[in-house]
Amino acid sequence: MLKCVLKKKTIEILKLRKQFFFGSEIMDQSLLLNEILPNVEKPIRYLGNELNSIHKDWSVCKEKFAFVFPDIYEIGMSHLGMQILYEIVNDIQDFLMERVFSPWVDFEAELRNHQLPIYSLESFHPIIDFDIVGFTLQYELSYTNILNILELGNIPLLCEDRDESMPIIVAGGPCAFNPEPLVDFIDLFMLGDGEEVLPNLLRLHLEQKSSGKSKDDFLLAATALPGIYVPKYYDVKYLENGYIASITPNNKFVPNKIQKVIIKDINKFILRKPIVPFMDIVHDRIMLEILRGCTHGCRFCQAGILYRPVRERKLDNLLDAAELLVANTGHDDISLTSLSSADYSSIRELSTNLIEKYKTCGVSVSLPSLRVDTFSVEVAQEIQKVRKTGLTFAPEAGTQRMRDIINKGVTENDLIKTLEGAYRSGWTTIKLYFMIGLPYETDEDILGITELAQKMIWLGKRILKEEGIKKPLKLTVSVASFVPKTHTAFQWFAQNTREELHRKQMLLKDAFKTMKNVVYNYHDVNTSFLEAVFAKGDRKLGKVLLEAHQRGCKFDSWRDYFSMEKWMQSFAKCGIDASWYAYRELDYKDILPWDHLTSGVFTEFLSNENEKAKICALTADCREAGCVGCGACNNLESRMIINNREINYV
Amino acid sequence: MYKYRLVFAKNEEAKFVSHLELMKCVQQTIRRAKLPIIFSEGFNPHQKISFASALAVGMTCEREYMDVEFKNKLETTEIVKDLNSVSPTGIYYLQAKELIEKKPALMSIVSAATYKIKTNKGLKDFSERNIEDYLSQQNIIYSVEKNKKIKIKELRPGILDMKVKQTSINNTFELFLKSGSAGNTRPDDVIRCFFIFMQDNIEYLSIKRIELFKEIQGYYVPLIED
Repeated sequence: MLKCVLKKKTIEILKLRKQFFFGSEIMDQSLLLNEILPNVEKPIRYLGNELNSIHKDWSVCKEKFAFVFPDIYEIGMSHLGMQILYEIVNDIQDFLMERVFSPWVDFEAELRNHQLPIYSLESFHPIIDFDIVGFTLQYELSYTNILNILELGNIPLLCEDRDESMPIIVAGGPCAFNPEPLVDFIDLFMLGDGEEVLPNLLRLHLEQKSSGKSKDDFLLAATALPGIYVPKYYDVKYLENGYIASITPNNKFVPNKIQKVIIKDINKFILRKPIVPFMDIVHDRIMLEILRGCTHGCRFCQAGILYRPVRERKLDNLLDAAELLVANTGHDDISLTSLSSADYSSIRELSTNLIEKYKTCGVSVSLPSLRVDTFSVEVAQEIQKVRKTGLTFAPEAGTQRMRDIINKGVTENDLIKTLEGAYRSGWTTIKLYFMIGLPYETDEDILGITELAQKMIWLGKRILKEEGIKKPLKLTVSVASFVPKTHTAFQWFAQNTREELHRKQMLLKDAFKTMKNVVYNYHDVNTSFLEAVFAKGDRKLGKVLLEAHQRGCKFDSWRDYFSMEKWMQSFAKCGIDASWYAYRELDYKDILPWDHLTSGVFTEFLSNENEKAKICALTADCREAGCVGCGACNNLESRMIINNREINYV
Repeated sequence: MYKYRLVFAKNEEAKFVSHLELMKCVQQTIRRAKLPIIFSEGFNPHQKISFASALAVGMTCEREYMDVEFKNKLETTEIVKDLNSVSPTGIYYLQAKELIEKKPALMSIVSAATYKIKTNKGLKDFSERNIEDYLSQQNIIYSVEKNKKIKIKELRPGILDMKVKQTSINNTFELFLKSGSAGNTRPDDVIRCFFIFMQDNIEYLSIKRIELFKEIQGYYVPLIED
């Protein structure tokens, strides 16, 4: 029934579209510029003529790809991956990549009122005119925005309702490692680094299209590329209790398991000319990616698994890249980005080099994340001659027992020494990140956060007094609720219930009440819950997503737009128990919805890590202690690259 | 230290760039052009640039001004060429002039501006006569509601001159208004108020600022002549 209504709606929309675009392919720009955009907030978001934006000739390009970041411009434009892919695809003759972001609610209303479809920023073409439309899946709470964009683009939401004339809908990014809740809507997923696989996919599509092959021919052919997952070639059977009975290919040509793809030579792709937005965006600076991956092995961390093995870029390569980026963007800050930038072997040499070179033209250097160690503070101190911003550290947990469980590898003494260094160097605003609801946690561990904060305040007061620093002391304690993520040691773990998380939040609130210098932040438990449901969800969630979309859910990561009520109504309507997804205990024997997708890390390594967590045993960093046997290097036929050297563990 | 006055234009393609965004954009352009800009002293060094006047989002302009300070003496034509080679679409540099003597802050000397405004035709034909009637009122009061407060503005003293040209599809107004610290009159207020006076409806208006002026002994001269 539902599908029927949808189909009917789609046909109506298509009729409308024909009327609207008869004789002209692109949007009526004067209507947009003179009558619509002057009435919306920040119209500059929707124009796409920023410096370094690439406007290729639509009529001569043979393969057209729309990259969609399903959130607003200022968030999407801060995504480095998009900038890298934009340059790689547009560097290829005959290929074109254009950008699409979620319109803010005011502009969406205007588009709907005028019956205009969502368009790409560069050429103002409706997204339906592209060969392939690709979404990046950065967080689960952006899923409703994906459906909204398809709808605004007059593209039928369900794969099965899209005929040969429709673009192929693909997706990549971290959430593609469990894309099951999205399989009703998205034809194909890409797992891993996109630098090589995306152009190859586009090439394949062009080949197939030119030789008159169908969409199905293309999808099947694509499964031969590494890291490509086409869900319709896999059947999922369920047990009566809702768990999975089997995931099996229904086509003999597709692989049983899809393993992510990586770029072995991280130096090969240098971003030269990123787009420079007019408006202020979230990360309005040069993002110089200095290494990919992280070997610390924190057991809760998904990125630490998904981006293995660690690959450092060459120092010379980075210095050259920085020069191009400064010349081509004019930004006043270079951020040395990665999952853990202080890990970079030549971080000191790199940062002092860059500082020396660019200080005369007013360009500063910054580190986005600091490890809890004195080395990081020393580097930060060298970099930031002016203590303009505070420092942020992530001890993640309040007690040593808990930090050992998550394999954080940080001791209280490390934190004391680190903060002592920071205070002595003049930083008085410090932010600490923690998580609650971690596996095997007790109330003692929760209250450990307040005890740790109290010690840091005492430490700060003493040192500021000793150093004669008059600035006020401020400690921000930010506490997130743990969301178990797939492909991690804690993927089997049931999330704490919302009631339990709320109780723990209040426990902290109470304890922090008397601490004057502490600012305590915590998140809405409902969004963390929904994140867990979709992170660990299966194919049955597709209909809930559709229902939520039809009830108007969008911008779920925006507090003002998130509606738990609508979500719960949607689950109820579909007869699906959301709690079951977040709170079900999983066993090592169970088939997980994402078991056919692998990051290259052995599942046995993850379960072993979980067992070690139970007994508070640590696993060393393979960068220093030798191979820990995660399997990534061998499975991906690659090596960790540290300081220009391939690390060969036998 | 060498001081230059730069003239630039912001056209349709960049009309939604706000003043703050424009300032950021100019700083980035100067850095890309590798011009020897001087930085302020202190903890947060910033480029020594001062703008004459802020331009509202949605407006375009033909001649805007800024003063910059460079370490070296440069050819003015080179400055313009270098900036244009790395400027984003929609923002163009037209002229540079070296300032020999010490000048007061650019922002403080702006006293008037000319505008060209296009609107829909409206229901009625307008003539110079209507403008005369409009301007001959003792007060031109415009009230706007903003954040639930009604703000009343007296526009008449700010209007130095006003003309209209009408075609079958639109109106083009030319306005000469007081501007800057001595009293700022907004062109859209003047036009909206005129439509109310004529009991007509405004559907759209696009505003272009043509030139900025300084007052010297009762005469208005473009800022470049300063």
